[in-house]
Amino acid sequence: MEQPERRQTAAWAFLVTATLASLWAAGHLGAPMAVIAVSIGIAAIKVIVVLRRFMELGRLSLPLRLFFYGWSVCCALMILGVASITAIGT
Amino acid sequence: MPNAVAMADGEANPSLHLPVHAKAPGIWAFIAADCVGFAIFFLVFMTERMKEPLLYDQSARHLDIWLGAINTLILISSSWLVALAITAIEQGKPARAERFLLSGLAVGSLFAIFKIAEYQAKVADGITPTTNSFYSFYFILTGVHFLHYLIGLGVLISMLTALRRAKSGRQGTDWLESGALYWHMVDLLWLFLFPMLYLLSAH
Repeated sequence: MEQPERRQTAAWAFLVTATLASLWAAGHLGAPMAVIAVSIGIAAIKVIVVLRRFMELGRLSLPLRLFFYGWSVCCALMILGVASITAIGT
Repeated sequence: MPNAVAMADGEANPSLHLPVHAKAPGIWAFIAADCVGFAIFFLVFMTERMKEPLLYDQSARHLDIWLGAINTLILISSSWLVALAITAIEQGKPARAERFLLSGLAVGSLFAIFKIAEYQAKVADGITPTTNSFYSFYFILTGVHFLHYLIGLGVLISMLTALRRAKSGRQGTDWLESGALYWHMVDLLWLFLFPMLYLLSAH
């Protein structure tokens, strides 16, 4: 297996493991905020791995790279932030 | 004809090479716009969830987390196989690329089976988009994503056809990378939809 394929396969293994980890966290972490933080945090990392390894974002121009990294982080922070406010209010 | 090949075996063929991200600015602009659109969807869903958290939590607990997780694994695996196909094209190995693309299509098709089964189970339980606002969002968000997915399946089929035509020297392969990027976007969007709909209330 050549190096790009090895990297993509390693990324796939990581994504599968991370998905199973978020599933485990949802079932085993009791505190709602812990479940939210872990599942959204894992989702953001998975998105960045797909962008870097499958979509090869690293080959794009800096503005586009910043846009997509920014999008991933903003979506995660937004979901996390609103969910935190909701959890505190209930 | 640029990027056309005239061989059908798995040997490296330097005549088949994708230009490295040189011809896909349009698809990146489209993906960026779609990502912004979905980010707005996420924001609206989360702010509506804030108004009725108990209703959203109770409703979300009726979703089958395992079905959501299986579909996540399906999209991840399909995306990986399509990425491998593009790498094989870049390496000038069209036969290998075709095998990966066909596998990616086969694995990706499973998403529809599980998604339709999930929709059917919900409807059988009397749950529809009008049941409550959570389920309105559930059906709209997953429905819009499913539409993207169906277009993606069509794109993968077209990519497979184009690759076969390229092997016989009848067509170029310039746009294959754009097709693959679209398919990865379908995966990307689901990676946020899955925890937002299925996992936030699983405590």
